[in-house]
Amino acid sequence: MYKKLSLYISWITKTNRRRKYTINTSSISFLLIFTIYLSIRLSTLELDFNFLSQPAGFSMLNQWLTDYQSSDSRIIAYLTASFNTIRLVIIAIIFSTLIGLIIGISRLSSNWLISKMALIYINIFRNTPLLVQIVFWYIAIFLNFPNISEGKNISELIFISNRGLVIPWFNIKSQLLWIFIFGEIILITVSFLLRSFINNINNNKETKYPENILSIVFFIICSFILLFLTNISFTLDLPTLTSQGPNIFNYNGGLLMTPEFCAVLLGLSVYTGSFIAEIVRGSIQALPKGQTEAAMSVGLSNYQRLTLIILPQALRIMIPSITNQYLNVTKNSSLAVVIGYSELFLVSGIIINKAGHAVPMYFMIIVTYQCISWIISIGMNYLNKRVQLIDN
Amino acid sequence: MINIKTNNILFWIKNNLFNDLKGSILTVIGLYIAILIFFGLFKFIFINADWEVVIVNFRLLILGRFPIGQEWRLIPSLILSCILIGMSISIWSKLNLIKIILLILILYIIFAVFLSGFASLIIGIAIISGCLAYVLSNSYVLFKIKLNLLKKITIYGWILLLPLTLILLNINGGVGTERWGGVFLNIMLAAIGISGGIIFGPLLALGRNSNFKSIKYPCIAYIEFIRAAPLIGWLFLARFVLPTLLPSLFELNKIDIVIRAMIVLVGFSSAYIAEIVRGGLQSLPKGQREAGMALGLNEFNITWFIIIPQAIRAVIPALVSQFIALWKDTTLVYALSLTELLGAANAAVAQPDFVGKQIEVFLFIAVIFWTFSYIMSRISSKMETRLGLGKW
Repeated sequence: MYKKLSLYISWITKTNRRRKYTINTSSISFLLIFTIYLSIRLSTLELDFNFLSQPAGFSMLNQWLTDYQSSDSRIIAYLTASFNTIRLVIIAIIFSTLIGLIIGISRLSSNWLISKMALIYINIFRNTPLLVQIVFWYIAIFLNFPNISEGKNISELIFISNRGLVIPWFNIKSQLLWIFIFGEIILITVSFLLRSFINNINNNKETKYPENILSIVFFIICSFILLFLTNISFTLDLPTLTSQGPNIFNYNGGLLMTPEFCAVLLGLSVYTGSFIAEIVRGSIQALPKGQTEAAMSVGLSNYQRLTLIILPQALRIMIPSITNQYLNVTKNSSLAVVIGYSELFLVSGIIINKAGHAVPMYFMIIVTYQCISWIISIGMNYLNKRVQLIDN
Repeated sequence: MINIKTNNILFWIKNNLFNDLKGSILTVIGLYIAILIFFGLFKFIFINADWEVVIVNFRLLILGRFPIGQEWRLIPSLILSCILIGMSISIWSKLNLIKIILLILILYIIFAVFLSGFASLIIGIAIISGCLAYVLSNSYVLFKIKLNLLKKITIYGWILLLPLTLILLNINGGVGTERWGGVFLNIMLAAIGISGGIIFGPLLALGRNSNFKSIKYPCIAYIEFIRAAPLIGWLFLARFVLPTLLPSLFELNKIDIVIRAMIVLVGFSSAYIAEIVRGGLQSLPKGQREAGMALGLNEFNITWFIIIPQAIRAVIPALVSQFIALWKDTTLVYALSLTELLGAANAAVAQPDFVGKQIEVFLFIAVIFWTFSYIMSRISSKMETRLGLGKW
């Protein structure tokens, strides 16, 4: 039977012309039929985006950057949800990188106990599904914290209860906040340009200007001027526990992080941290041993050896795999929908429940995730180009 | 850094734990944390925890809502898989006898605690047949069988395991997919996702490398489109949108949610496996194809006998880690409110008799997930060293 199949397939592909003709016609006709079928099916569904401008009619607990109310339109709700996702992704990336670096370096420690503890950490958290971890943190830990009235506090600054975690935060008040943020972005770009400009001047001169210090001083002075111009007031916002009548307590002020957010953040950063730790370990081990020995023979201390010799070289090997992990964080943040953190899928699910239009909604979700992934990979590719060796 | 080989335990402790002041401080802190965690866990597992919730719900966790009296359908596959595990260990692994006896003891204790009567008898028969298979295939020389034949038998056994299970589940009335649940559902989803991915992934990879644009671009579009969005998105899509897209022919639009989840998992894993196999295809030198052409093989034979085996051999570790990821991803069908292991755990926790027993249940299911993926990752690292990959 195999021989017949092989002969048949080889008959189709015997001569170049016949092969080209057969394959092209069959695949194009298949694609055509598929597209026609799909468009007929889709034409029965509603595909316009008008439903997004109607009022949303549901409230959200987690908010960031936008001031969303339930009377706002659905597009604002969707934006709020995507900001929630982006906030989760950014913080999880920072934490997971820190955890990964620390654990990965301790995995290579000459101290037996520390190295074994790091190994156990990596083995446990890498091999357990992320969703199980998130649900465990949420149901078994964060929801089991004491009630708000019996919640714990650390020197009246940080409050912990089953309502979430409250920490002191800055209170930023201004009409011109967006202008300030925009101005800061421009300032950062300008100071990078200044740095490369001074670098260019330095190349042709004997006496060299300190380009890093100059650009940082320029940035700080200009930021202060901008701060003064836009009239922004920074105040430290301390959280307090207030009671409004018997058995009704509330947190006032501070930054409230809901148990959902805490659980997802903890799960994501611990899980991804264990993967990044393995990447860090692998890329440090991939360096030739002579590098460490050379650094020791020059007389660098342990810390200097790590930060000046080992990590910069290991970074070249690490960055592509770490980029992959960051993209995974972006996709894995969608698991927050299971425990009810108001991110893209949850909010889109509510909108679909209320208004239908599942296909346009899913199309928007895919585009949004693709955009976040693009931004991350563009940034990481830029970083990758900066740290690569330049061969002549 | 210093690695003195000595039998003196004091020397070892000094060199590996207290080699300088910083190291000593780290050791003391690490030891404190390790002791704290270890005793906390010990106290929880053996004193504080009430494992009754797991014992009562054991059937729910393993089989979900599988109809009572239909378990005989699973017994042959269970025994066959135990036999195959025994044969595989004896052929490919170098586990020594002490480790195997320890493993069997642990397995026996676990099942003696949780099971009773008929079920424990079946498990006992399965374990004993696995041990018998191990012993028999270890002494294959006595039966005048060549090692190659034994390997072939084992591999064909593994390939036939899934069809056998599916046939047994469907003959004589059968058990509908809507009644599958527990770990059993996870294993079936992972097995079907992996087998489907192995079949369609390399095809997609070949399509992406094809010279014909009419094949190449649809393959690229499919792979990139699937990889752009998280798995949970595709699962939601399968739940809400797929029924409207499928034709009403043969009631295809009314297929069960479990089968829809299987379709999504196969599509998802084949896109990822295609990317991995593409890496393997790119690592092949062009001379391989040219050598095949020089021998007068046709296109099909070159691909099947020369390209595919080498390309897959080069990426086996990456494939296994993709399988581990897929195994962990099977928990996501919990978002479709199926009673897979995580869903069954949540159902167990929600019972009024077992309020506040979440940690026990979640620890138990985490251990189950962890065991499977840890075994797979060990196999992967063994394969990596055996195939000599990454070493030139």
